[in-house]
Amino acid sequence: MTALRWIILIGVTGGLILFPALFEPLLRPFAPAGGPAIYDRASLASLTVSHLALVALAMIPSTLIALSLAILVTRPAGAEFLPMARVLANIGQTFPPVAVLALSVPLLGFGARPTVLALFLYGLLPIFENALAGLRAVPGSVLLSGKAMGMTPRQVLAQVEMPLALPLILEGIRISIVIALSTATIGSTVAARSLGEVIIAGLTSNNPAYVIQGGVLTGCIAVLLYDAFGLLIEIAKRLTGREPQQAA
Amino acid sequence: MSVPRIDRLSAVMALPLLASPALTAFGFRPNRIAPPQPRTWAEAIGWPLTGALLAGLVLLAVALLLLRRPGMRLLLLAGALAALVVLLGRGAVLLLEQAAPAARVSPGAGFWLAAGTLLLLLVDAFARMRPGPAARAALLACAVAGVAVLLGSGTLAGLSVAAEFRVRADAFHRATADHLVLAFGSFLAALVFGLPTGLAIQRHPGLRGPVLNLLTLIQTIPSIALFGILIVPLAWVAAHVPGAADAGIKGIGTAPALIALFLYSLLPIVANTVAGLDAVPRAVTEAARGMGMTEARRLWWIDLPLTLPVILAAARIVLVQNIGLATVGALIGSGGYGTFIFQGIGQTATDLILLGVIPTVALAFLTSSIMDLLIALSGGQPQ
Amino acid sequence: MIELQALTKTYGGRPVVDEVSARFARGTLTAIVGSSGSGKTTLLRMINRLVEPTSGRVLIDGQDAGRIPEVSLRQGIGYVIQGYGLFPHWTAARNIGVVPTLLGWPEARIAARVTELLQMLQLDPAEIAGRYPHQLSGGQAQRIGVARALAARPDVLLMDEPFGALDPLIRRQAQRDLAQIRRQLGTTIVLVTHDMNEALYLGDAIAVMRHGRFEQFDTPDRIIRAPATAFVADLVGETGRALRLLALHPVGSLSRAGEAEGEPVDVAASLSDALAEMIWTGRDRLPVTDAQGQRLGIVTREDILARGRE
Repeated sequence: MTALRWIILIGVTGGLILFPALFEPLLRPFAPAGGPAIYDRASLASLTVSHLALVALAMIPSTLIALSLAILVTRPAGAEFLPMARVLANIGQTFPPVAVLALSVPLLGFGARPTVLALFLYGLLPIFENALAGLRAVPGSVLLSGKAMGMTPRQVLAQVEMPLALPLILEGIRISIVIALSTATIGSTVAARSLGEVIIAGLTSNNPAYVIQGGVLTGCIAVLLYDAFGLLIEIAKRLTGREPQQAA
Repeated sequence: MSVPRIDRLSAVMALPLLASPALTAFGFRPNRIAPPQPRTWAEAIGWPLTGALLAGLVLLAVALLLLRRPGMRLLLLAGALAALVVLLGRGAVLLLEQAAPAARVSPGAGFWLAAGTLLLLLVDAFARMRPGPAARAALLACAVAGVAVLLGSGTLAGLSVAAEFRVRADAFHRATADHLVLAFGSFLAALVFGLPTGLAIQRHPGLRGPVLNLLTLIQTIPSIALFGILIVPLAWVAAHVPGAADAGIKGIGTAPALIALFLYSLLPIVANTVAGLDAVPRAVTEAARGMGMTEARRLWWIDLPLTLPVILAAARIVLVQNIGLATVGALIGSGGYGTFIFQGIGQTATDLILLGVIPTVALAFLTSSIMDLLIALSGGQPQ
Repeated sequence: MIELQALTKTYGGRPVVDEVSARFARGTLTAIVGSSGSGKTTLLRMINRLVEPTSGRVLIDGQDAGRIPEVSLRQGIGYVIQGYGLFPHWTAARNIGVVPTLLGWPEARIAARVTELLQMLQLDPAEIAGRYPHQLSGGQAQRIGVARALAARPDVLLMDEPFGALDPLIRRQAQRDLAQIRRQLGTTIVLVTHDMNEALYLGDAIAVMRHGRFEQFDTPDRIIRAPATAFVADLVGETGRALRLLALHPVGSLSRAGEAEGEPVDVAASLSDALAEMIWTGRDRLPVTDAQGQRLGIVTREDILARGRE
């Protein structure tokens, strides 16, 4: 079941990116009479690469900053900022990604920059929230033991808290990446190069074949990354001994 | 008796507050889409008022450093924020008096920095009061009333967003109606469909994995992709099913947007219903069964009341998510505030973008606050 | 030796531990008994500075604990808490080896020490070492917690309700095991409990704590015989005092030469166990044997009753 899912996802994604012509017969019925069925204004491969690049450019700083903030507010020195941080995260969640994207345009103009800024800002919240939840979920008795065994605060953080929070942190990154992939699609309305271009082109030129092509491809990539992160989370859980070991 | 302990949060937040007058207070544009020119407070409201503003900010910062009682802080900050907003409105009017009719004035970075900082401190002061449901309701009512007075009194009429609104009042009201239908209509449909589904898969564990997996899969698909893909089958239905087109089903427009939002809403509702039912203590269920309650009675008397906070939490997630995602519907012609946002992006008209963004965020924030209140009243943990 | 000098901790002006002074002799087990809120856990945590004293000092072998860097102080003191606080993401072996690792022991030495400790606590290293905490039973987890505290051969072992999370049957066994291994170790142990029976069974000395002070700090024998306050008397209980007293002493203390019939009693068993055996089997004298089954003599009912009246 899982293997089949992987095969289909990788097959469809790879096929659409590398051999788009193969899908011509399938998409032809949806294309307007005489119009093109396969998007040809840019190669899907290059659009995919720039789509993923937008996401990566935003997610790396997002992850680093959100994690640092979560660590900061869970230390004694930062405890006073915790209520404020939670309020901020809570308010931030009511900001739709489209709003963040649209408001970045007057600041940064059109293109990749406002998109990356929006993805970066919106990516912070899920990672911060999950990292916070993960760090706060470490049982008090475990923290106390670490301290009582003579670990320095830094050792407790690196050897106990972070490994225990890791699955939840990864879960946060996974949520952020899924949102970022979706928002990057909308980024093509502000002229960032992404797969959204294909869908928007389909919508504006009344060509459902484009919409299906772009939609299926972005959907597959999103599910693929989602599943890949799921695998990573499983591994993290197993490595940290919290998942019952599979019977041999 | 000794040196008063300084509030560390205020110490950090005082910096942006005191630095804010150094930044641009207003953006002045000769016409709607010209790039903004910076205007300082002094240029807008004159030196006497600017002096009062600066003195006020310094006094406020000192008071915040020393004052630790949240209730006092709340009052002080609310007053400061109101004064700042009144000054903003006054400045806009004064700047426009000397300019051509097409000119527009919008708040600049300096204002946003000061207002944002004040708002954060305000919310923090409120959170530190550990308010109960009654206090939350009171604050919410005060905030809504405050905003209504501000908008109704015309204090802010000089600002460019207000000018934009006056031009498009009719379109704005249509967009509001469309947005509400999209966000709340899809939520209600998801509730009607999702609650029984949650109940069913909680009682039949074999269904749980497949159903939740499918819903997660849907939630993973980027919004434009889902909106767009739905156009195809709906266009087919409109063309081939008699009467469908007359009922308003079209490939583009409201129908695909409603369905997409409905699909996105299902996962939180179903998953939380299942989680909530799972969390009903066994002892409670067994006691109820031991007393001879029927299955249906247990559902209405025990399971649903105990699950209510979790379901309300799902409703909060779904509503906030839908209000945000409904903006994307504008790309497939479903109306809503997104229309202004995407038109604004196309025309590089910030005012138009804001005309879409501000009500979207306000609606999302108001909805989440009301839901938090309901969750607290139902005995759950608000966010 | 641990010496507390006017040790005090106040929270918001309210003393939780109030000028406690006491000495816990080297190699003994001191049980601190009290109800929740009596300040016993706070007192214990001031010894390894998980809680900093408001005033007063802790001396460990004459050295002021407040002047030893926190981290090295704690690495030299074993600590076992209720619920054990095992690191859930590490195997039992890695949990046990944590302090030696922090101290920079070579890996081979750590591995050998882990095996040694598991064997001492009657756990099969091949079976247990690789398990994660969630795969251990309550009793096993408790022993891993003790092994972890003992790993770096600390001179002092602090135990905070170490058996509190165990069900009664396993608790009995765990208490017996602790009584056994502490003889091999020579470690100074301070154990906090709310259970007077546990304190009487394990303690060389007992401190009864209430409102942040020691109501009585004495031998188990004196605690039973001469409770200093009504509170202590209440904790010990008015009824069954003689039997409790007898439970403190081994059969060996009354063993004398002679002959007796029937099933023998172990020299290390308590006098109360021997008496119970006499009542049940209708005898008035029992043969006494050592652990190897060697006859040592007899114990008589008259002697036991006389001891109980002392």
